[in-house]
Amino acid sequence: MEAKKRGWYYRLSYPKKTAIWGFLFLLPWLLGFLLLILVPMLQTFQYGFNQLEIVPTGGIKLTPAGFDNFRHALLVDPNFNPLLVNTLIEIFLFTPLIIIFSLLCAILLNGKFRGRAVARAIFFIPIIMATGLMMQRVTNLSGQLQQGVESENLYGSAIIARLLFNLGIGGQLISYLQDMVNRIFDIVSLSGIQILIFLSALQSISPSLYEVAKIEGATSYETFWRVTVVMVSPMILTCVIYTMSDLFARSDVMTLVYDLAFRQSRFGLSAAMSAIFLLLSVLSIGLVVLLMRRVVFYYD
Amino acid sequence: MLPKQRWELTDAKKVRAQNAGRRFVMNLLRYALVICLSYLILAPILINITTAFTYPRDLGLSSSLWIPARISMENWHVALLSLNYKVSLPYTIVQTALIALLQTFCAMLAAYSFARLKFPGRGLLFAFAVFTIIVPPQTFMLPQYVYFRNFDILGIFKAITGKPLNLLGSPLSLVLINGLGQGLKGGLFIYIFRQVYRSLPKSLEEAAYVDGAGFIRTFFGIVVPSSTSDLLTVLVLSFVWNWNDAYYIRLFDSSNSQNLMLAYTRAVGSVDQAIARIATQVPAHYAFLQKNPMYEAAIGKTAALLVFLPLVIMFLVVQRRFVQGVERSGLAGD
Repeated sequence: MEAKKRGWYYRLSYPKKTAIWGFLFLLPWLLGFLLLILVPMLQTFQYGFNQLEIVPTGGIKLTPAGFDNFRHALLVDPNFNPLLVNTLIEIFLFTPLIIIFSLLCAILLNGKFRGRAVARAIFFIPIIMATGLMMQRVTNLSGQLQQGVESENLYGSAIIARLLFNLGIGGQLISYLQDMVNRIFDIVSLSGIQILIFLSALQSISPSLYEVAKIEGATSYETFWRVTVVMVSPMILTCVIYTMSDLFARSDVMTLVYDLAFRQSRFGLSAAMSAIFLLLSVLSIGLVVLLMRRVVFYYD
Repeated sequence: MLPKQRWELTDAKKVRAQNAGRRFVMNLLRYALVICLSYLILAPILINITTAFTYPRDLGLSSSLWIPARISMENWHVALLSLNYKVSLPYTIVQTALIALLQTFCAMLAAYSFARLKFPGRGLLFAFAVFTIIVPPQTFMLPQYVYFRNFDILGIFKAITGKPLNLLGSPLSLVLINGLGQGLKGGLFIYIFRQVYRSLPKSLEEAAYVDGAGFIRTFFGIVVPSSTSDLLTVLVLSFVWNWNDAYYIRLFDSSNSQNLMLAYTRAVGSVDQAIARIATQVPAHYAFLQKNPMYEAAIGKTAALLVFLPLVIMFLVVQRRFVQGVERSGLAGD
């Protein structure tokens, strides 16, 4: 039996063997994808169209509710719409800032200079603190306190605000700028992986391109825009996708959805919000990718 | 970054002086930026460290802003107790390491398949893998929760015990979701490994095949050893992210009393209660500090440092190889 089986396998052509093993290597992931992503995704929509109850023994009970949950989420709930709009604004505001900041950091770290090893070690700290509550603790809570050490003042934003006010600049603009300064740690802490990706991309640019630019008499300004940025552009797209999905996953909408489901037991509404949010995130990332595809340069 | 070269016939000395001047300015600019950005990154951490060492009654004094007026270990003591650090630290290390290993292993296998092993439908499946990177995982939380609440494989458990298995509240749900490659940022790891494997020379694997090695042997004997630095990169990232993650553990295993991140969330959620729980062991002057927001914040900060500390140690150990790995890795493949 064993020999026969081996014989059967050995008679297969190479592409067929590859296909079999390709499928086997993928099997764990595929199983996970089907059971834990694809089916749940469809269920999210299904739950959204129903009133859902969790029976104490563990099962669930669905009562069809049509578009009620979606209507409630979009028209009645006082928190959902503002949070959604806020999330979108933040994403379209933060993503460019994060990309520029991380590209700048990567370029700084890429060159040879004394103390580079130390600088790199420091710049990678945001990666260790990347996700979760850690950062909120480090920055936010201290900012809420009245006196003492405030992270708001850590970067001197109060001083800047006073300075601008004395220059006669309007309060709204100042509060916006102050907000940006206070958010700078958010930007730093969200840029960890992007710095890594850009650093790795910069390392892979062939030095001969820079030599050609030098021989042709390009200024360093031209070299940056015509060589570095162009060669890194596919990675800019990757980073934009990553940053946007990261920001979507951190959105306050997700906290609302969690609270609705697990604190208030309004499962149907929570699922409907999840579904709307899912569509919104996929659509906006898809749109950005489509727009950026045109400017990205692929070097083959 | 390169200084502009002038090929006109000018005085060579002048050009050299000009270039040197330009390089000096560039370097100055670079150092200024690097130092500023380093400050941005380090300042909050340093402030936290200062606060953690400040004597509780001195909290909020402007004289203790950067250097505490009186140094004490009391905050550390209270934070250690409220996190149940002695138990939760080893438990969380083992748990996170296991999760990271499983996740990385599954991602490696899937990525090799996506990179090298052609089979029908592969392109579509890879598109799905990229899709999992884009979609916020929280949008699936309710169905996933229900799924683990009523876990069953083809009705086997129901047939034996009469009801499906409840995997909530057991670490098994986390093991399962990561073992099947759908844990935190699982899609991203597949993407990274795929880039790495695609950039390896194909001739190595072909030679192995010609020499009679099977696919498993080729993978573990040749592909994995020639991408160890990338393996390290992914392992470190996976460990760090899972360590810092409170979402999955809160969803599937919220009653876990030994997980450090959960203990931290609980302690910080109400420092007051956390301290009351360990009342017999805290210093006597605690009554004075009760309900004092400064003190609660200080304990929170110290606890945050304690959660963060193991990662720093790990990072210092692997730092050199990690950075090298990143530079050569397929993070930026094609």
